[in-house]
Amino acid sequence: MKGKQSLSFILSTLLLTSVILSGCGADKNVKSEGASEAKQQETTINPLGKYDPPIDVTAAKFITQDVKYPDGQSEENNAWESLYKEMGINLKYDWIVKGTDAQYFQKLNVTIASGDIPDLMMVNSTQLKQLVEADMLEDITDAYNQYATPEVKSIFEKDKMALQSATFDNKLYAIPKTEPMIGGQTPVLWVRTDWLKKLNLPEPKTWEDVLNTMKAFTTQDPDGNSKQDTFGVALSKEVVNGYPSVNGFFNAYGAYPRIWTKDSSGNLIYGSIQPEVKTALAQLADMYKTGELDKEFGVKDGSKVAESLVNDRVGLLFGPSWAVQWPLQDNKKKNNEAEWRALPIPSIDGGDASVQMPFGASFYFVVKKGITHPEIVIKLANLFTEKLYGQSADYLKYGVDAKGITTAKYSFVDLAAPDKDLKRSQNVAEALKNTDPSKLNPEEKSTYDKIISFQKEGDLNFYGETYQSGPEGAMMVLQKLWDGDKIVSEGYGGAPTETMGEKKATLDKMETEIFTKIIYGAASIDTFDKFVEDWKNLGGEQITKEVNEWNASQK
Amino acid sequence: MLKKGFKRQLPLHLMLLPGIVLVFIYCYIPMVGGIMAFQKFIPSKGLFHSKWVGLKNFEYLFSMPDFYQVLWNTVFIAILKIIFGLIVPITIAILLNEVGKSVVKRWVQTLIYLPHFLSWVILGGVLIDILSPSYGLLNQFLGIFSIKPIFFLGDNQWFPFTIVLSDVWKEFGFSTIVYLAALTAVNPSLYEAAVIDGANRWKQTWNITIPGILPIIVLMTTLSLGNVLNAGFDQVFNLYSPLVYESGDILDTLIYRIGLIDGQYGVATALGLFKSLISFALVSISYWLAYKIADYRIF
Repeated sequence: MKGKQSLSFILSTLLLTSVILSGCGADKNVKSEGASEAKQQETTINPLGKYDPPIDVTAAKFITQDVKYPDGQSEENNAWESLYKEMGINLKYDWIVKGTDAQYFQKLNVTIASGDIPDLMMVNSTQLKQLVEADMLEDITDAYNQYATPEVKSIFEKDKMALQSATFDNKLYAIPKTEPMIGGQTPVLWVRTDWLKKLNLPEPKTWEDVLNTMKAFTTQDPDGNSKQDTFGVALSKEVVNGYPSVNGFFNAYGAYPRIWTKDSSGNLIYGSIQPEVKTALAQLADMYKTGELDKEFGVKDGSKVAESLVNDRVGLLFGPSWAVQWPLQDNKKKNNEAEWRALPIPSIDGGDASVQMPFGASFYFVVKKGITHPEIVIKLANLFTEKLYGQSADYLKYGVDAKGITTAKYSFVDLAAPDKDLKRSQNVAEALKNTDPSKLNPEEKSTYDKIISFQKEGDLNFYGETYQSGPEGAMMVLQKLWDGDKIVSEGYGGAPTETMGEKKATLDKMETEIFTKIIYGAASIDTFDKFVEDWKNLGGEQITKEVNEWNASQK
Repeated sequence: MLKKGFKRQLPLHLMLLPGIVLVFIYCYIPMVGGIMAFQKFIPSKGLFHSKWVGLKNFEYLFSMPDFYQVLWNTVFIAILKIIFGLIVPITIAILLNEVGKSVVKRWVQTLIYLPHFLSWVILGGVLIDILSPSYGLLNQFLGIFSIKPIFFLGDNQWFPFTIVLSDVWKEFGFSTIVYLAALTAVNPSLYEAAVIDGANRWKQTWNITIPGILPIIVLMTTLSLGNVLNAGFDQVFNLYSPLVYESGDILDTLIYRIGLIDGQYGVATALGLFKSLISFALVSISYWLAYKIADYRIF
């Protein structure tokens, strides 16, 4: 009995080992074949050309939860998948995650850990760095130079940091998924103009005006219920980088929390420890004392603060351009008198404040080392810009269809120029002025139609769209700042440095805790100086050094 | 003889098998990951090719400025939870047992059991409203007795107790059922004998009911001692805020931040391992104590 068992154990072990060994052998053969074939291919370069014979590419796919399909289309069968097949690209998905990006990256971590990665995938900045260090990615520098279309190249011309962040030792390893950050994260000042009128206040043009408005919105009963139940400005427990946060408020003081900015000598410095922050915090602490901040902001997350906004308790908000879509539009729906307008944030030194914009690319498209057609990732990027905005564009098919379903989300690779949203606003404004939408691209046309239906029929579902992208909208404010060079963008575009990986969460927690305590008056304003010292000693100094080493290597 | 017995029990063993397999897959195999605690773990290099760093992760952990505060918070909240989590359900169970009308008894039982089914994500939102100092129900009620509003979730003195009490409120119904079940096992003839001997209700409770359910109490206490370092991640995570990090940050929220936000798998595992070792020691000690003091063996 016992003898038999051990024999079968040995046999199965042998079998398993042989399978593994044969697997390794086969893998090597494929790789060397692939490399020689790639050399032959290099002679014919056509950025939008199709593959004949078709090629097989394995991939990992991430689908966000909000993706919908028109009738008759699905994950495997849709406009983009058909296009890929036409182009001779057979994308075979090893696995698909439909959910949050956290779930996707978790699954991808497991795949990376197993060592058997697909040919094509989207990674985050930490994974990009790890994979490059583990020598698992293909260098696509030449492929980019040869294959990228002028449209794709122009996107990266506008957002130079993006490609830099995917470059290691002068070799390009990824196509960054650039996003139009200006509309996504850059703060403007949102004000209830109906309250201004009611209290006979001017539109806030200077910082003094803003402070007076906040005071008046707190004490002069703007909602007219004879109760002192309103606040000056909205704030959530994530005081830095939350929604709503103090970022815009700090920007007025020339303080840029949580991002790296360049000082006069070109070195990167950390925004949260600069003396301007202290001044801004002192002001917030004063405002807390006088009741201009919600006494409970320290425990409220974004959706709780949204309740206050919707229920007419706050009339001022430092937030992104889309704040008017959520939650301000709900306020308008609930109380038709409410009017929200975006204004540039005034600086304490007069004029408009320069506002902060986070880094535009946090995800990257990469190809596995040794695959036959590393240029595939660039070709997919070419296809994306071509089919949406190029000469053979078919926006209704590949962008947003007639029913408003965003089909562009099925594309494997996507990227956007940083100023895409600004341009759209400009074109829409122009078209509205001339009442001629014929020159608009379909994406712009859809915005145009929504604004018209708000203006003509008063459809409140498009109140947000109108005051985000319309002629009086937040985008116009941001355009003015963009033109006036008043955007301060994140200066560090690399993967998290070694010390960042170890200490950043601890430092961020300390920062949020100290800032909150100072605003609440639980710690004196001079605690800020101690915080700066602690920040440096607990790893901040080392991080600054590493960030500047990266900065020097980029020149 | 042995073979025959085995054959007879075979179906039972087979029924046990799925459970054992699951425990093996989900509880024992992941223990291999414990070696991450001694590595600088990099996912792309995997469990067996990451660099070994010896006890560096632990050194890093114990040198963290927050560590001891966090450890203290954890133990403080957890011990309070264990104490109240024992006293309240036992009291309620005994009281309910004395209720004659079974309709009332069943209603109360169901009502106090209900919160157990709500997740902390939902309760978190509800509690923030109920405990709000400006418009919350509880503070309005306290206002009747001219007590100044208390910022239960934002005040470092109150926060641990808010956590403990809300947890006891959520879970005591569940434990009460366990003790009620134990109470039904007490032999009724003991009570009859006591009545004949002239014992009143109080004496009956003290001399019959409590000794009767003592084994269960010891069992529950022993099991809960393993949780001394578990202060309840999902609860604290949904209720805490930067205002109360000082009194509310616990080991599990620290592990969450180090592991899932920072991606420092090695350090997070080291912290997890540290937690497991302490818990293991505590369970062993309490097992030994239960045997020595109450002469009760669980296994």
